[in-house]
Amino acid sequence: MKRLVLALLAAAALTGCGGEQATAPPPANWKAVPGQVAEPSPTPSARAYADPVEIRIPALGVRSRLERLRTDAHGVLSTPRDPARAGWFAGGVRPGEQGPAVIAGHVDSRTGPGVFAKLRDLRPGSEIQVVDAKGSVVRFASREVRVHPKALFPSADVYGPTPDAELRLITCGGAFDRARGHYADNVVAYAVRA
Amino acid sequence: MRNLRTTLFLGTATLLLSASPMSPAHAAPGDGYVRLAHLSPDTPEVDVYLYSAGKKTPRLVLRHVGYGALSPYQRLGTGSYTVMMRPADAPATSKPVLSTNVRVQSGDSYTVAGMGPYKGIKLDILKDTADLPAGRAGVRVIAASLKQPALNVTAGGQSLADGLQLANATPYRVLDAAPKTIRVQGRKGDAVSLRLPLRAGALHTVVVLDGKKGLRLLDQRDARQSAQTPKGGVDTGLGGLAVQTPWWQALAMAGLALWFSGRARARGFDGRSRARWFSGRARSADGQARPQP
Repeated sequence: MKRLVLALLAAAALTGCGGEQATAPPPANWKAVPGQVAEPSPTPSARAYADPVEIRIPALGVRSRLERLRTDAHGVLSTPRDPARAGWFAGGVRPGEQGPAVIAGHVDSRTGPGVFAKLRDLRPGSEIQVVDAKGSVVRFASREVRVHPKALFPSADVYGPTPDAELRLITCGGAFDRARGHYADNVVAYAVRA
Repeated sequence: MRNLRTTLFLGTATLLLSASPMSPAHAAPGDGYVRLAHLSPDTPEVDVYLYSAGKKTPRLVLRHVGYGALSPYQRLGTGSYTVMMRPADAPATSKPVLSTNVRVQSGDSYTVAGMGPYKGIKLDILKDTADLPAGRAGVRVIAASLKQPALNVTAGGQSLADGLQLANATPYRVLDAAPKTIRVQGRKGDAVSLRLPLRAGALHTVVVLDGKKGLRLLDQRDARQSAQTPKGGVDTGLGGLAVQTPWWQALAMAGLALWFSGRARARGFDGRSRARWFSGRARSADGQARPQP
């Protein structure tokens, strides 16, 4: 019984629910200072970017103008018309601004490689550059590449809130269903503003 | 029953064999974010230490953090961390005046803040993420003023807080994504306002502090999500690079299927034989053992 209680206490301490308040006697000169005026840290003003027009991934030899992607009548993200061109989801975040910007590209055409054919091989730390309509360049660094079955697509991870400027690159992978003409998986590369 | 079992057996074998470049889904955990804050109006400056749980060497030290300061978000791997606050310039080995553990989960943001008056200061962990309906924004308020210990807050006429007390935070309230004037009023009638450009998908925290003359409002752009979230995945592939199932694999699959069904038939794989496997006897409803017919 005693061991169980100790184990539970240890577990509670580790999970940090509500927080441990381990206080200690403070030094002698540590006391209340009434009437303090707040000194907030200066918040860097967020830079605004125009709509993106080009993406470059030097490590993969990718350089592509960007189409604008929207959702179709069913709410599904439409795909670029040209397999050699990537597209930016214009209903979301602009690359460089706070939040998750999304760019999708085909892994292949009917006959050969597409713009994002090698996306799965993107190594952590690789640079991705996005150029906006005014010529500003935003740089991102790849962090990881994950593969998800389309049936279990992690929308919250891909489109959910982030405190910083992030980028997700999406293409296809996994088994190809010839009858339906679609791949089973999505390959998602996650990158953060460098 | 026989058919279902056989089908499941064969189905599993087929799946395993037809694994044409079947990619392992990465279960790699993502990162979370933590920011540190000093929101106690009458507590002097502190040094803030952040440790991975159990480690003695801090991974981050913020020195001389005064009332009203919030650090930028630190990106951290999922796991447990310890935050300690010591009086500014106190030795790193001295006992902290405040300490708490925080568990960081993938994709979540947290604020760890010293809150409340000096005499009751505590380290609170606030979760900085919220589900927003498409195209809307969220605003929450943290009361950190000693001079106005109860606040009424409105945003474009909509109430965000009524009598919010020092060291308390409201949940994120959902608002339309349009510029809004946040108005904060204390008990004695002092009012201060701030114009927030609320963009779709944005989450803001308004911190109410004691300024030089009356209240001072601080706007923190906590996070932003995609204004619109498409359904499901994306069909970004047309098959030009798809690998065909090699002929030898297809043959092996067919061979295994035949072999399994042959074995099943030989064993008399049917309902009656199961009873025989378990015991030589059957038990009837009244619990009496009777020999098998």
